[in-house]
This record gives sequence, C-alpha cells and structure tokens, in this order.
Amino acid sequence: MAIRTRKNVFTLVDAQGEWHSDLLWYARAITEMKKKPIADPTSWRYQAAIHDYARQFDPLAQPSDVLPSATERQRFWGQCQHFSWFFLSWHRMYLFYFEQIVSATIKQLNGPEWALPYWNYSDASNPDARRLPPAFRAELTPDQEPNPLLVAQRNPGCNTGLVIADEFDIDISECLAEPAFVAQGTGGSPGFGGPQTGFNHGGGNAIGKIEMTPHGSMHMAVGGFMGAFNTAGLDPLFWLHHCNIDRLWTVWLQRDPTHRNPSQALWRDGVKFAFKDAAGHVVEHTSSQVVDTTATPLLYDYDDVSDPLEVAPGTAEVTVPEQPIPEMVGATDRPVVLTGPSEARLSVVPPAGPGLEAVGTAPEEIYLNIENITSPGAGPVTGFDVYLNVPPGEHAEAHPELRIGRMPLFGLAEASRADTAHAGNGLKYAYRIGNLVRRLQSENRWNAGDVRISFVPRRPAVSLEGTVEAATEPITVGRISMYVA
Amino acid sequence: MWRHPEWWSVALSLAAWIAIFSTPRHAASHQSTAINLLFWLLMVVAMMFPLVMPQVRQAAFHSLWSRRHRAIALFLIGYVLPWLAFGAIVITLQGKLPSDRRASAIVAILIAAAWQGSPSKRRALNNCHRVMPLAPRGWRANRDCVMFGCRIGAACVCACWALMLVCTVSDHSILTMCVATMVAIYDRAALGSA
Repeated sequence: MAIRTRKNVFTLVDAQGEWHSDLLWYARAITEMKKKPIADPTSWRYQAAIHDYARQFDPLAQPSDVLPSATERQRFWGQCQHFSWFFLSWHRMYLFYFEQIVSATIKQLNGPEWALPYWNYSDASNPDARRLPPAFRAELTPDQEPNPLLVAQRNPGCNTGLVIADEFDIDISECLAEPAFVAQGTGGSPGFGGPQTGFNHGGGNAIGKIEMTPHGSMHMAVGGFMGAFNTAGLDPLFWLHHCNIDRLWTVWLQRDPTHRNPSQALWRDGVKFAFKDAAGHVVEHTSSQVVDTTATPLLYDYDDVSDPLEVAPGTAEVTVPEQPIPEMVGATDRPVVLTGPSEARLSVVPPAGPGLEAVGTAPEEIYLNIENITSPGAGPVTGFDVYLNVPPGEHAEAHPELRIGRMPLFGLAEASRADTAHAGNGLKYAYRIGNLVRRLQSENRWNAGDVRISFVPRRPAVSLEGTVEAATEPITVGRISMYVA
Repeated sequence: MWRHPEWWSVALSLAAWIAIFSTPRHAASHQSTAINLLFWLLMVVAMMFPLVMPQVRQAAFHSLWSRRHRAIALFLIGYVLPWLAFGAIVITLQGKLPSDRRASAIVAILIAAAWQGSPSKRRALNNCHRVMPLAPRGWRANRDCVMFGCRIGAACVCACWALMLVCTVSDHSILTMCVATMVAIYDRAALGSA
C-alpha cells in the first residue's frame, strides 16, 4: 500500500501563495465534521473529547447535546496519556485515527488523498516558524466561507501573525539529546518519552523531556483552547502540533543509534488503547504496533526527519551510567506557593549512597525536581521560568546565565484534580543542572547550605473568553528536591 | 539491596503470612479482643504491605539516603494506624453478629461485591496512589513520613474495607484471604500503578 507523506505546513503554499489544497481540504473536512453531533465518533467534538472532556468546561456545550453512553465515554473519552511513557505512542494512535477520519471525510466530499501536516516551530531556517501558519489566521477560506482553522480562543498575537513563542518554548536541543526513552528512578532523568506507568491518569510522575518542551510550552504559547486538556483538540492547530511531536520521536530515534524505544513488555504490549476508526469500528493497539510509521496499519512517513542539532565539537554528550539510582541530597522542608515571583531555599548534603558512584565520574549529573505542582482551580495559568542562586535583591531575568528551565504547566488543572480517574498528585518537572552547579562552584557562587530557587511568571494568561488576566489561582509546589545520579 | 530498600517490609509480610498459616484457627468469639486485633494486624501486614510497595519505595527514595529505612518504618507505622482503628470497630461489632456465620459471610460478600464496582471505590483506589512531599530532615521529615503512611492507609481502608470485612467474618480463613488478596492485586494492576 502507498505510504502517505506528512509535510511541513509552511511548505504548503501553492504557486500563487494561496492556500495549498491540503489546507483547504482540511478546512472543508472540519466544517463537515462540525455539523455532526457530539455522539458521532467522526464528529469534531467527539475527536476532541477523546483527549479529555469536562462537561462543565465544554465551551461548545448545548442543552440539546446528546452525549454518548456512560460506557462509551468511559472507554473512548478522556483517554489521553500524559506524564507517562505512553505519551508518544498513545498520541501517535490518536493522530492516526483522526487523520483517517479527516481523510475519509475529504473523500466523501470528493477530495483527494490527504495527510496531516506538521507545524515545525523550531525550524531555525524559517523566520516565520514561530508565527501561526497564515491559513490558521485568515478570516475566510478561499471558498469565501468562515475559516474553521481560525479559532478566536488563542493567546494575543496568535491570530495577528505575531511571533508567539520564544527560543525556550521551541527548544528541541534538550529533548533530542536525552539519551534514554524511559525516566530513571525517582528524582533522576525524566527520559525522552517519560516515566514507566500503567494506563496513566495519575500525575505525580516527572514529565518526559519532549512532553515538557516543546510539547507543553507550545500548548501554552498558543493558549486558549490549546491551554487545557479538555479543549485542546478543538483547535485545528492541535493536530499539527502533535504531528510535529510525533515527527520528533522519529528524529530522536534516527539521530543516534543508542536511542531506542523501551524494550519492556509492559510498554510494548502491556496496555491496549481503544479508538474508533473512520468506519466506526472499535480498534485496539499496543505501543509495539505503532513503533514503525511506515508499517501497517500506520503507513505514513515525514518529508523531513533529518537531525536539526549540531553537536559542537568538543562538547561532551551527556553520558548516563547503566540504570543509576538517583540519590536525594536535599529538599525544601515545606510547600512553596507561587502567586508571582517567588523564591525557595534548600540545603544539600554530600551523597552517601548510590550517588557516591556518580561523584568522581566526570561529569555526575545533578537533577532539580519541582514536585507536586498543584492548583485548585481550572482557570488560566501562566508558566514560570526557574533560576538558580539569583543574587539577593536582584531580578532573575537579569541573570540568563542562572536560568534552569521553563515550567510550562500544561495540564496543571487536570493533574491537580482528584476524582474517580485521577489521584490529584499534580505536575512534576525534572531539570539537569549539573553543568550549572559546577560553573557556580568554579565561580565561588555556590553554597550547599543555601541553595536558592527563583520562579518568574511568564506571559499573562488568557481565559477561554479571550480576556487577558493574571492567573489568580495560587500554584503550590509541594517540594523542590535535588538528586545526584 | 540499594535498589530495594523495601526488602525488609516484604519480609515482614511473608512472616505475617507464615504466622497466619501456622496458627490454629479459632472462632473470633472464642478469642480475646487483643488476640483478634493482633490477627487483624497480621492480616493487614500480610495482605496490604505488598500492595503498598510503590509507596514504601517512594518514602525511601524521596528521603535522604541515611534515613531511608527510618522513612519506610515511619510510613508503615502511619499506614497501619487507620487499619487498626477500623479493625477495632470491626472487632467490636463482630461480637454482635448473628450466630449464623455463613449468613454473615454471604452478606459480607454481597456488600463487598456491590462496593467493588462503585465510583467511590474507584476514587478511593486513586487515592491509594497519592504522592505526598516529604521534608528532608528533622521532626518535619518524621511527621511527613507518618502522615504519608496515614493518608495511604486511610485510602486503602476506604478502598479495601469490604474485602477485609469478608476476611474477618470468615475468621481469617486462608482461602478467603488469598482470594481477597488476588482481588486487591487486580484492582491495583487494573488502575495502573507506577
């Protein structure tokens, strides 16, 4: 069977600079899918609800809605896998069946073969990479119809063509350099793909590097519908964003022969995920069935999976000893509440156990963990940038050399919720800070008894109504800890 | 051993199973409250400790290395406290059960079956996966480990009280305990513990 090729959306312009037919047919298919009732598996809203659905927060809810049965909702809705090693494989399946449904809809409209495009916001050669593709900002389609690719519920600047993400939002150097797919033990590397879990709704596990950035950061850069699990799929950009994340999985695998998918049977075949295909039939897959995009049933590839990173000569690749046991060497002794710029302090002790194996090997890795990040409400949140040992009385932003990383906080509300499907453990982020700590030590700016972590809030949050407002819900960090591995 | 600091809590569980297997069985009404409570504790250690190994490991690996075993011990102490409180209630009520033990067992099984499929059980099972931040040292660390154990213990009581009721009403019959353990293991696995 023919392999279809998923293309960079910025290459989809026709000779006149007008909409490429792929984007025009995407818009027509969405218009058609939006006409179908929410209980129809091929409808726009059903497809979005597969990711997550909260009736009380559904912006398109109508009193006339007839939802699918509780059994069907339990099995097919709210299935998104996050903070889990299933993040990549589940979203690959999700996108595949969405693409199949859109393609079938286009066929019914007498359109051509179609493949989902991807949005490569990290393309350094494209000065427009961090603006929304033009077709997603136009008021009307070339058919002179209201454009379904334009969604009002996005951050300011998105729909007016401004650059909406900074270098840190789109960074892929960290995730693509991550040596292992699966997270190390508690407190260590979160891995490229995420931590080992069962079918995951729990939160509390460290978020995999690719899920954190660029996945989470770009969700928050677009904001609006894209800013929450239960509305993200309602923005047509969601699918192009995740297509790019899916592509980066292939890029990571191909750029280094030591990069491998998990070999554990628990990942490969331990959990089945259920979907409905374009014909409405129930289908189930395990992760091992979707590792090769060019094989049945997927049968697609990408126009570009080349390695975008240049490893500078002399730069040591991060080497990870075989399955090290991360050892905790310090932590805060009480929660930290983030209502604006905030600081927390902890002290660290020398390792006394498995961390000793790492010390003396050059270089040992040190991890900073921001644990149990929760918020009580479902309101808009804003991400934070995290800094290390900012001099007292000075602004963190004045010290880019002390920057640890970004906390996008995508999924905060869902991870904080304790209900029949969630444990409410909140989000957890892990950052490599070994090089930064060693630099501070060499500059005499390190005191193990007084380690300061600063949090700087990012852009103002935008509600679903489109109003810019400061995030009013307090965000609580359960604990900040440091590990040596 | 570094990879499995929880080894000795597994050993405790095995020891509890051995103690239960090798102890002559008597009807609860023929035993003192203290003995009944001891059996209840043995049942909790035997059946529940293996199920909370993920949380025991969390307590260890979320602690400074030098206090990992203390963290586990404090967690387990906190964990059994809600169970002991529940057990005291059950034992007190057990004396008031009708003399028809079979009828009592059937009623208990029906209650357990009804509870098994309820949303409340599912919510309680999710709470068994709560993660609590632990202070690194001092009295706060000790307090947090005990509170973590209490919280998980309380969640486990909410999730598994009906199973334990069945075991108690059947005077801790080995068969009932084994079946109940299998059900509890299935519950944990089906939810997808880390």
